[in-house]
Formats: sequence, C-alpha cells, structure tokens
Amino acid sequence: MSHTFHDKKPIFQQIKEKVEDQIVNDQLKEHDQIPSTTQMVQFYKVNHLTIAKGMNLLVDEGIIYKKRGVGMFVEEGAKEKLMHQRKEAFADNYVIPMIQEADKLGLTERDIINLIKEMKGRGPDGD
Amino acid sequence: MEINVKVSDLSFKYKTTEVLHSISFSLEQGKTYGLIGRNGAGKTTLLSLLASYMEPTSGTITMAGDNPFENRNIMPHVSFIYNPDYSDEYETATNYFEFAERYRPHFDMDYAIELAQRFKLPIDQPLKKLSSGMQSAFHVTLGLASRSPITIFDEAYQGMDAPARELFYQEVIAEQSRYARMMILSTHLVSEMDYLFDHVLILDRGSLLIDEPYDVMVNRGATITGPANDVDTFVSGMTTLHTDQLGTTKAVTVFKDLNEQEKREAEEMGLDVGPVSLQDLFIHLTEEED
Amino acid sequence: MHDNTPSIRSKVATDLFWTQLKWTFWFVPIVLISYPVLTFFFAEVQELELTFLSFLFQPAKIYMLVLGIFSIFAFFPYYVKNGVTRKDYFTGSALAAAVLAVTIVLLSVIIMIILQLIGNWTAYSPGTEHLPFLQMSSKWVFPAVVVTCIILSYYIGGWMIALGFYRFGGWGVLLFILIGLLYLSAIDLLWEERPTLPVPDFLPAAAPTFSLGVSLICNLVLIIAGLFLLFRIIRRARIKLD
Repeated sequence: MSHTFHDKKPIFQQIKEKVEDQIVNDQLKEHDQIPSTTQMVQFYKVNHLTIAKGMNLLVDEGIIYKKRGVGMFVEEGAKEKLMHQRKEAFADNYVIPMIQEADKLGLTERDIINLIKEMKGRGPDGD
Repeated sequence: MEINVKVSDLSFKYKTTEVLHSISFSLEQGKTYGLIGRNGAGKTTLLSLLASYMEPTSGTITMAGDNPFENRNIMPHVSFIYNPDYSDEYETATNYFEFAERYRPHFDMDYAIELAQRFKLPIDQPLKKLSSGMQSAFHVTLGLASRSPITIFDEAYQGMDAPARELFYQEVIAEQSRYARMMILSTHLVSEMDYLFDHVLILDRGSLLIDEPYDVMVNRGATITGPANDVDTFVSGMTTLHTDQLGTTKAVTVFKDLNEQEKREAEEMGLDVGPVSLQDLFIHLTEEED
Repeated sequence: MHDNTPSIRSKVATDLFWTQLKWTFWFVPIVLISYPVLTFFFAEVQELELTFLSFLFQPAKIYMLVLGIFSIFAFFPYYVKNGVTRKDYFTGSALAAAVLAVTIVLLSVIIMIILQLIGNWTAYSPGTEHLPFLQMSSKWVFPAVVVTCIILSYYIGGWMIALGFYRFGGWGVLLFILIGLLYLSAIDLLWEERPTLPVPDFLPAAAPTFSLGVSLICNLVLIIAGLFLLFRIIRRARIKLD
C-alpha cells in the first residue's frame, strides 16, 4: 500500500521519500516528468500545501527541478545523489539502532555477522 | 474576474437569537476554503449571507469592493449549492442545466453532461424521482459546471455514497487546477475532506474561532504520549484540548506549535510527539463544556 | 466588468413570457372549447350572447391571479438562486406579465373575429354582446385595452398576496391577503361597479359610475402604485432555503 502514511514522520517527509524511492528504483529516470501536485493530491489524498512542501525540499536538494508552467522533472545525477545520501545515513538509520538493540540482547559482533550471513543466504524475501 | 471577499464585523440576528456574532475574514480567488462547524454553528446562515440570499443585521460583506446584495455585476458570479427539498420538483436536471447555462456566465454544458455521466445521474427524470444521493450528485454537478468565481457547497455531499463523494473531491481538485476559483466547502466530515482545504475557518456557536491556512492550522496541535507524570510536566502551561489515559500512559492533545527545542525536550523525556488531525482539533476546539 | 443590465432583464422577461405563454396555449383553447359548450347547456349563458372576449374575461382574471401567485412561489426564488437580482427579476417579470396580458387579449380578439367570420358563412352564430361595462362605442379596441388593464391588475393582485406571504409570513399573510383583496375589489368597483370579491361594509354599496377615461386613468394609477409597493417589498425579500 503505497497510499498510506504513518505517524512517525511528517507527511511531507514521507511524500518526499516516496518520490526519492521511485528515483532510486529507476521508476523515474533523469529528466522524467514526475506527477503534478494535483495528481499527487488526488492520489495520496494529501493537502497540496503538504505536497508542495515535500517537493520544494527536493528542489532545494537538487533532486528535482521545476519548469514553469510545465511541471517537475528529475534532475541530472539525482539518483547518485540520493544513493550517496542514503549510504551516509545507513549507519545512523540502521546500523547504530541494530548495535544498540544487539547490546540489550547480549548478542556479540560474531552473532550479528552470522545472522546477516544467514539472512543473505536465504535470499531476498521482501522487505 | 477577480472577486475577492471581505467580511467585516458581520452579525446576523434571527428574531431575537443572534446567529452570527461579529465575524470578520477575507477570502481570495484560487483557494479552497473549509468552513467547519458543528450543526447549528451558523454555517448555512453565513453562506446564505455570502450568496446574497439575505442581508446582514449589521456589518458588511464586500465582493470585488462592492456590496454584493442586489448587485447585478456580482450575483451571477456567486453559486450557492445546498440540498433543498425536491419532493415536489417535476423539472429535470437537464432543465436546470439549461437554465444555468442561460444565467450563469461561466456555465459549461459539456462538463455538466460529462459529470452527470460519471455520477450516473439520470438527467431526464424529474428531480423528485431521484434518490437523495442522486439529488446531491445533481447539485454538485450544477455547482462544479457553473464555474462561478465564487462557488459555495454547503454540506453538498449529503446522501452521496463513498464513491460519489470521492468523485466530488477529485473533481474539486481537478477544477481548481483547470479553472482556479474560490470554493467554499462547508462540512462536518472533516477527516474525509481536509486535504482539499487551503484555508480553514472554524465556526463555533456563531463566532469565528479559527481563520488560518491549513498547514498553519494542523501544525498548531500535537499529541504528547508517555508516562502520566512526565506528560503532565511537559504540557504544564500549554493549552490542552483533550486528555486520554490508559493505565499509567497518558495522551494529551495540546493546541500549540511546538518549536524544535520543545520537541527535543519531549524526546529526551521519552515522550512521543505526534501530529493532530484537523478533525481532532475541530472536535476538541468546539467541544461543549460540561 | 461589463454592464449586462439590459440583457439580464430582457432574458428574464423573455423566459417568463414564453413559459407563461405555453400555459396560455392550454388555457385559451380550454376556454374556447367551453364557450359553445356552456352556451349550449346553460340558457343564462346563451341569453347573454357574450362575445368570446367577454366570455373569457372572468376566467382570465382568475388565470392571471394564479400566475401572479405562481410567479412568486415558483419563479422568483429560482431566478435569484441563479444569480438574478430581485430588481431585475421584478422588472423582467412585470414586463412579461404586461406582454402576456396583451397577448391573451389579442388572442381572444382574433378568436372573436374568426368566430364572427365563421358566423357570417355558416349557421353558427357567436354571441355579439359585450359585458355591460364593456359596451362602448368602439367594438373591440377599447374593450381590449380595458380587459388588458384589468387582467394585468389581477396578476399584480396575485403577486401581492403571494409576496406578502413569502416575505413576511405570520400576520403579514393575513395583512397582504386583505390588501390584495381590497386592491382587486377597487379594480372591480372601478369597472364593473360591483366588487366580485367580498368587501367590507364600509365601502359604498353602489359605486359611482366613472367615465371610460377616468376609469382607465385610475386603473393605470393602481397598476403603477401596486408595482411600486411590490418593488419596495421584493427588493429586500429573503430567499428561503427550501
């Protein structure tokens, strides 16, 4: 359900991340037009001010650009930029919480690495 | 045509009851306004004053700088859509459309027909024979297709089923991007419609409680959840709208735009800070005191 | 913003005229059919030997009264809800009513002439007598003008009763029914020298006989006064949400 939002993060942030995901997944390529604010309002049922806030952040970060009267497009090198940002955030968002939780449970480094190997061996099974 | 609206110190008395007390606000073209209030808050009275159905007891309404009442340059541009009683109406939707086409300067017949088809509205049957949902669909069609610079929908969704309401909301959004105008939607189905609003007006017992852009309005509230004592400490001094308690966990809705520092403090105290929906703000702001 | 005054008023006038004309195309033929039928069955009617114009006179009064009432309850709110000002509705519909009154009378004059022509060539003999108060030197021009004025006044009377009801409710209803009845009785006294509607005793039992000119002028004054009163009432009328 790409439609729904959770309470943990502001909705404009979640909207922004949905567009970012599509860029990272190659659903949206460089210079592709992204859906208009109106289309996103209709699809997500989210206020256009909220959508605009998310899109303006993407413009500020150089991920998308606006053409007056035409629409919004994926900026050149947007995917690389996002991948870079996400790699940097990976430790903060995933590794540190994992280590903290592992400490609480008394798992050693070796346990964690073994777990990772085991999971990877099973192959991807969704998220 | 740019018809902006300015309402100053507007009051309306019906016999001896004051239905509206000293209301002031302004409205602009291109925006969708949510007029929210409980039953009897005075929404319909306010809207029928805007539509020149009657005159205020005191105060003024100006549209494009003029008094709209009996103003032939303004009245054709204001459409007021509500749900009247059609139990005696032998005319068909087509009759109404043709009439609107003649008297409404921006009416679009093709669009009216297209919308009627999408609502599955039988346009050649007497209106009295239509179900209440279809009568509402007819109204919404009439209102949207009139393309009036000032279009007012007073709880126009009444009787419509969920898919029809959805179609209505989608068309409000689409029309605002095609032919931007001023739309005023009065409702108490806030949670379903809040994403349509640019600006929110909350009317409570005849007074205007809130007149704010949607984003400002929804940022004005937060729900603080956590251990009762910590929550109490954190919210002391804030306007609290609502309190829920489950065992030792307490959730308090505050009416305040929390700044970064306050958010950090809450986090350090182990409290969860969540957003508040417009619906919740509305319910809590207009709750009757016991 | 361009001033679209004349177009709105003339639109209102045209639309209301056509709608009411459609009903008139039912009304006049029904009266026409009942004309020979009633003459055949009722000796009194036959004895009067009324012309079609005179025969149509009483039904036309009631017809116009009903249309006047209808104008307020059905058309007035509908037009205002579609963005027409009360003033423009008023002017347009007054114009439509006047043209309608003329049309009804012209139709009946034409029918009257056709019937007479038929009478000239066949065994059929239509009535040739006008109602007593319409018997004047002119065979049909003045009677036609007089009937037009009277039926227009009845339309205005209908407006008065309905508008009092619509705008004021409560005691206003009674007050305006009374004003309406007095208004119509004044018209009747002016022409027929007897009120067709019940009037209070304080009015003289035998009304003075006026000359054609005086009656006509008095009637025109009453029409203008009635319209003026209605205008004052309608321009602040509150549109009901029902």
